This record gives sequence, C-alpha cells and structure tokens, in this order.
Amino acid sequence: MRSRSRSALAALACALVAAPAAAQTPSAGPSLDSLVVRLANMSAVTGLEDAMALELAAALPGAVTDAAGNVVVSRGSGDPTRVALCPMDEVGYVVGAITPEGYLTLRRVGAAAMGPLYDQFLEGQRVTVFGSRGPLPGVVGVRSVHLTRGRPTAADEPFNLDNAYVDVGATSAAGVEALGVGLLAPVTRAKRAHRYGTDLVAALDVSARASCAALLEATLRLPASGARGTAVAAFTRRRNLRWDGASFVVIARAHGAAATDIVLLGETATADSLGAGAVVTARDSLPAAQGFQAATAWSLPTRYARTPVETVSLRDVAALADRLQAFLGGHGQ
Amino acid sequence: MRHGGTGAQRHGAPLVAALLAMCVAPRAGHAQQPPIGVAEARDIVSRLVETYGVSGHEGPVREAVIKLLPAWANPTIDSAGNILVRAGAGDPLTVYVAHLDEIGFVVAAIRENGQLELRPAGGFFPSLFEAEPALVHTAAGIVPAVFMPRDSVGRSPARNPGALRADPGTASRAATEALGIRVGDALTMPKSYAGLAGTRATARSFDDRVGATAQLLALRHLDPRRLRHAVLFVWSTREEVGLDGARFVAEHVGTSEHPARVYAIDTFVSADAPLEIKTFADAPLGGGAVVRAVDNSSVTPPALVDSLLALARARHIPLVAGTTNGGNDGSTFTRFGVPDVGLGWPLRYAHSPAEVIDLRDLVSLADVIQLTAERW
Repeated sequence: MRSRSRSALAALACALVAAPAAAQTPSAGPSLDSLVVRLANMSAVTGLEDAMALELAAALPGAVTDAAGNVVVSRGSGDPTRVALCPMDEVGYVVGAITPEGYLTLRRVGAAAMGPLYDQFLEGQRVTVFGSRGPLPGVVGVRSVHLTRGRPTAADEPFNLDNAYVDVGATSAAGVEALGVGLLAPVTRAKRAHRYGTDLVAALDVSARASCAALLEATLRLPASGARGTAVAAFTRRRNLRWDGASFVVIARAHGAAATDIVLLGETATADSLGAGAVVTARDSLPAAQGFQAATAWSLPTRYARTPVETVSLRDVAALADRLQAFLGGHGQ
Repeated sequence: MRHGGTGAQRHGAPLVAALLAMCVAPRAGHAQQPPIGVAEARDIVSRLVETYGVSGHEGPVREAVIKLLPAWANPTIDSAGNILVRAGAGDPLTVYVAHLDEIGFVVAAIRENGQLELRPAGGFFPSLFEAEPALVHTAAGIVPAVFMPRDSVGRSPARNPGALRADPGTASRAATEALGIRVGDALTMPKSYAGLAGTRATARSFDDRVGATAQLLALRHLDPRRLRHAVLFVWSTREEVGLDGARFVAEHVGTSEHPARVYAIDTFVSADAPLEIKTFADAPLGGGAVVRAVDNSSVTPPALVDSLLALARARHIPLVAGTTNGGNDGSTFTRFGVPDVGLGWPLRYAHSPAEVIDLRDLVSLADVIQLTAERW
C-alpha cells in the first residue's frame, strides 16, 4: 500500500507539475517540492475551487467529495478521530462587467481582510481569466508613466479595484464573449511559483498551498489500516467565507473532538527566520453547529505574507509533512 | 492624431508629388521580396522580449539581434556597445535607430543582512515591482530573488512604496556575494511573451524590442542592391537613461557623414487604454504605425511628415501621425542639422510588466522602414 501511495504521488508530480521557475536545488525531497510548486501555481477562487478539488481527489486514493464540496479521505476506524484540515481556496476575483470596448472589470470574492495593498498588486500585472473554453491570459491596465508627466499629480492613494480593467486583447464585448468569457468567470493573478535562496519558494498564498501539499504527502504515506482510531484529511472550500467548508467537516466527522485532535492548516505565521523546521502551533477555533469548535492551528513560518512573494521554506514544508504523518498515524501532535 | 489621408493636402503638396513620382513605381529588374508577415514578426519579437538587457547591460539582447540579422549584413559594435549595420552606397546617408535596452534596476549596495539596495534604471512606477519576483543578472548567471514588500503598510498606505530592496534569500552580505551578486549588477522581473486575442500580445520590454524587431524585419526583407543611397541601421544602448548610445553615434556620424534624416524607431506611448486621458496620443492599437511627429525631445518637420504619410498611403501601408510624451534617440542628431523623424507603434501600459501591442502595427512599422530605406 505504501508503494502504491508513493506511486500516486509520483504520478501526480510527473503528470501535473509545471516546470519550476528557478534552478536552485532545495534540500527537501523532490516530489513534495514539486507538489508545492504545482499547487502554488493553481488558482482556486473562494467558492469556485472545482479544478483544485478534482486534482486533489484524483491524487488521493479513496477520497470522497462531501456535501460541502470538500475533498476528504479517511484511514482506519473507531475512536478517537483525528482531523487535519487544509483550505484549498484563495481570495480572488470574478468578472463583474464587460465594457463595450472589451475590457473586463472585477469583483473581489472572499470576505477575509487582505490589507490595503492586496488589489494594488494586480495593477500592471498579468492575470488568468478562466473562461468556458479554458484559461486565457490577460493584463490589468495601468497608466503609461510617460503620459502622467506634465500633468497634475493625483493623490498617492493605492490602486483600487474600481480602476482594474482586464485587457484580454478583445476590442468589443462581443469579442470577449467569443473567447468564452462571461460574467462571473474567475480571475486570478497569473501564477508562477518562484524558487530562490537555497530552499525558498515565493507565490501568492504559498503558505496555504504548501500546507496542503504537506497534508497530501502525509496522507499518502499513511497505511490503510493499523493506526489507532480514525484519521481524516480534508481539503476544504471557502476558507475566505467563514471557513464554512472546514466547519462542515468538523460538524460531520469530529463534533466535540478535543482541540488537540483537530489540526487547522493554512494560516501564516510571520517569521524572519525560515528553514529551521519549526511549525508554529496555536489554539484556534472554527464555527461549529452551535458556537465554536476548539482546534489547533499549525502554521508554516512565512515571510512577506499576503503578497505575491509570500515565502516559505521547503525544509519547513517537509517538517510539516512529517509531523502531519505522525499526527494522523496516531502518534500525537 | 492626423491620418495620412489629410496631411498631404495641408502641407508640402509639391514636395509630396515629386517624391511620389520618384518613389512609388517599382524599379524593373528586381524580384519582389515576400511580404513581412505577422508570424515572422511574432517569432522575432517574442525572442527579443524574452531576452534581458537593462540599460548598460545590453549584452544578451545585442547577441540576440546579431544572430537574427540577414546573412549579408556585416555588423560592427562601437565602443558604446551600439550595433551598426550599413547597407547601400552613396549620398545622402539616412540613419535608423532602435534601442536595445529596457528599464530595470541596478544593485546600489549590499546590506549586512544580505539584502540589496536598488537604484532604478529608467522611469517607471516602483509600485509595479513591489512584492514581485526578481532576477539578478550577475556575471556568473541569473540568480533569483524577490523585490521586497515595504516594511510596514498601516491602514492608509501610499501607492508608492519608496525605494525598493531585493531579498536573494540570504542572511548576510557574505552569503549574497557567494551567489555571485555584486554592486552594479542589473535586476529585472522575470518576463515572458503571451499572445492575447487576435493579433494582440503582452510582455514586458516591448519598448523597444518592437523597434529592434522592426529594423530586423526590414533588413531581412529589403534587397540591399535596391538601395539608392547609404543606410545605417543602429541598435543603440542606454536610451532609457539618457539616449547615451545614440548620442555617441550622432557625434561621430553627424559631423562626418551629414545624414539627410534620422529615423527614431521607438514606442508611440498610446492613450488607447482605459485609464488614459485622450486629449492627445490616442493612436489606436491595430491602426498601424505612427509618425511620432511631436514629443518631448523633437518636432519632425511637417513637410517630412506629410510626404511620408503620402508615400505610405500610396503603398497601402497603414500609417498615422500623432503626438505623445517621451524622448527619442533621433533627437541627439538634430544639433548636427539632421531632421529627426520619429516612427513608432501604439503601445499600451508603457514601462509596465504588462505592455500590450498589436502585431499588425509591428508589421506596418517594418514595412514603413523598408519602404523609406528603399524609396525615400
């Protein structure tokens, strides 16, 4: 079984992993590193995580999709139940309107507070529009610096979403429609994970994606049986709308469990020093059927959080995978 | 904006008529060259925009351009790093200049903690590079890094992040230097070419790789035996930091060879974009090449603008005239009495990572260059 699981991971890595952005060799294992890059390069706007869910389900033997759309896999049976939850989604955008000139305007999706510069990181950058005929490249327009010269200086306020016009090369609304792009099509920054230093990887939301890669790796290492109790790994939807995917898993599978038996992944822990292997733990909670369910947050040390160069260490990701394997296998936190 | 259909009636009609009589009819005895097409333009410009060359660090672009020259060309490199290709013989000499360099950063200092202090090379909004991936172009090769986000944001941050730094993922100056990074190295964002709908495309550094490509396309398609006078094609260095490479050429050629005209082949920064004020510079993408008749560095004599528009119209080459902001390499020649004819193509989102062009405009620009070299 172990070899089958490893094969599944290797197959996912080989079949799906895009070419890494940079050339430096990290210290962690190649399959997990590739998986981190692969997941970081994917887009999964809150509430619109289907593509990510399909890929994760395909990589996890025995995985099911629950009523909330989460991808869940169980190993073992009986009590106690240990649950590890990792959110798939990211704060992104959908097409809010299409102008007569063929530009797309945007509506942000997700209630999480992302800071006053989050939308500014779109300005003048490449985006991906997920139309009905597949992903399309586009760019968010910006004024040409030359044409601002000699004119009154505007207030130095951050770029905001009301000025975000996505240019996909169309020249009319009908041209946009012909590309398979309509209202509500998901839009995210174009993703390309960036490796640097000896073992660092930078990408938007990489801390959560790397945590999910670690959970996937840990789950694939688990034996089908033999562990004490039940181990549940869940890749959840809609973190950025009150964590309601994760809440559904807890309500359905771990109601009343001890806080130490519910591990919540995907939050960031600000840290200057990366790569020491540490995983930050903290008491946390999730909305439950009534009130809140206590849980434990395991967060990767993260630099430049909530920016396009959010950075984690692949050594830390490997350590997280080991620790998750131990936890799910019944060897404690 | 003025279209080619109106200019000829307003200025220099006798000159236009004389030039057309001389120039429009093809000369007998030479086989027709195949037309310049969008596919060939795409192939060359995509290669050039995926090559890096911050001002003063143009080596990789210079090598790429030389490799793409036609077999008959005999390029020389002057001491300013410019590429020069001569064709034809006889007076008067005409000169074409497109620049090799792109905007970026230079390492100004390496801090004790390993981080890099940066100095901009060229004019742009620093906010477009904040918290983006970075590449350090060292003597030993490319080293990945990141442009750091500002240290603190607060509730009401300014758009401008101030001076940017880069983090190569080290914790000490020694570790940074061990990666091969030195003060003076260039930094850029990674970049790639991507096709958009139709004939539109996006990349960083279309300014001025489109101009460099247009000159290459014209050279590859013109027959040097058809030239009626000497032509000098220049791919210049350090345009974005002060027109330095072109100035070097002007000082050497301007006094000794007395060119009749210099054509600055560079971006027409267009207001054809959703956030721009359209009181001038509104050249539409896909509408063809643009005579950059007035900018911040030069004014093209109206008679030349009109005759050029008429010539293009007679050959059914899309060409319009307009005014935009910015300077151009040709302006370094005017103090030697050489008229500066700016030729460009409409560019959206100039000096950003998301520049957008229409490849048809590149083809049109290359056609105009070939036409003027052979017939004007």
